[in-house]
Amino acid sequence: MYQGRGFILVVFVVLSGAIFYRIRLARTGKVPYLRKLAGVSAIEEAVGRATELGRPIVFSPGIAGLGGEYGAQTFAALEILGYVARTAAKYDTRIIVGIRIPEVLPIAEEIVRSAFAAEGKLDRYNPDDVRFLSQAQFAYAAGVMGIMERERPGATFLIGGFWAESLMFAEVGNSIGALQIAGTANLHQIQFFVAACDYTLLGEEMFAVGAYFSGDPVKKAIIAGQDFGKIIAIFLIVAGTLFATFGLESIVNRVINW
Amino acid sequence: MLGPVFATWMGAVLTLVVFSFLLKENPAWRLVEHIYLGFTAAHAISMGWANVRNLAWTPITTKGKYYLVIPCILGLMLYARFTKNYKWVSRYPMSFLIGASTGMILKGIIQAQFVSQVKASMVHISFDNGFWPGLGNLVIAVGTVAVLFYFIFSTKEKHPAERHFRTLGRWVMMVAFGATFGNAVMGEMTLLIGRLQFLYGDWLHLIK
Repeated sequence: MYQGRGFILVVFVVLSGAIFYRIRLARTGKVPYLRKLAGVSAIEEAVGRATELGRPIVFSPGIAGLGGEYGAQTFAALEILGYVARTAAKYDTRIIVGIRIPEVLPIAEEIVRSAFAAEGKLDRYNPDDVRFLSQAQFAYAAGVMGIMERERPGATFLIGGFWAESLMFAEVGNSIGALQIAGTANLHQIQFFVAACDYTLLGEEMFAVGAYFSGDPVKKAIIAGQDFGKIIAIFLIVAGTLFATFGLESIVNRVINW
Repeated sequence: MLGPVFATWMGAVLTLVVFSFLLKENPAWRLVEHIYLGFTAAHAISMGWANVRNLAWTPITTKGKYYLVIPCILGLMLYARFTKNYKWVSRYPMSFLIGASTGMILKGIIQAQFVSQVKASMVHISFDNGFWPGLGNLVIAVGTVAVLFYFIFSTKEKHPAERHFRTLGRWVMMVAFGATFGNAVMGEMTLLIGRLQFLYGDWLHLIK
């Protein structure tokens, strides 16, 4: 029998239970508190800077799709896109979105269109500014880099799932003097954004900022539910380390391999 | 014989044009950028057609796998978004795609991203085998907890110690990013060396 199935089931039930419980509370009006992250102000500042310079904004929601392990990053990016597009519409600033995944295109189009409509500026919405570039990773990278060089944006947003193209984008954005806000939960790419961008949303900060901007109580509740998972992880690590240090590894192994 | 020579020259010229982007965006780079995008679009169409033929049409018509008609219909429904009145139809296959792929990863994600990570962080802190291994394990345990604490968003800071512990978590991450940055730059250098070997070896024959 596969070892550890029981423990995985318990973790799954507890984590899901915590998230469902917080969602239920949020629906009854008990919206969880989310601390304001520095990234929120940075995003507002970036849109403001592009507006002052009279330059467009370039937004890339990454190269991940909508499903699978990395789908959540794309959804968080689209959430932030909604806020950025609405702020851009408010200040009459052009926003160009480069898309890699075909399924993301209609959603991004709808988000940007709705943002302009919400500000009563539907006539300013240009469908050609939400562009499908290519499904191939580096062709997409070439497309985004080309747009950045030609359009000279005042601010770039690189938020979502990124892989090897992350440093290419960040370098080009840096060379043209754009204020850059980046964010990804891909651990192997965050360091490039930290090095080359003005502000980086580290891992889960991206999801929290997405929930913060959406104002949706359910999304805030999901973040609060996940926080419970982190508290459990902290408890398990501390307890496990203490047990291991005092020679009681067998107990830890028995629990984890249950 | 002309084919490989042409391919090498083509590869070399395109490589140099792509490198020219490091100096400035220029018409040659723009041309290559558009050629690349065009090629990948053509490749995607060709692959898409091959997939429809090999994974759907042939099994349905020759092997009688009629259930494959369902994904074909779902695929066709995606195109409804180009119509004004039936745009909503495209949302059903989209929901199916997202739901199915999310469900599939649930199986392994708790094991890979929670249990394995927690297990790896439960370390035996002891200085019996030397100072550095013991310190390393202590850093792993404290660092992991501090980083996890940094990512708790729904609690108010009631004590300055919480802020300090979050700052520690941030510092731990920055140190880790520095180390992985150096490692990744080495990987990028390998790619550059590969390209230079192609230019100086396959193209100019200056090195063997």
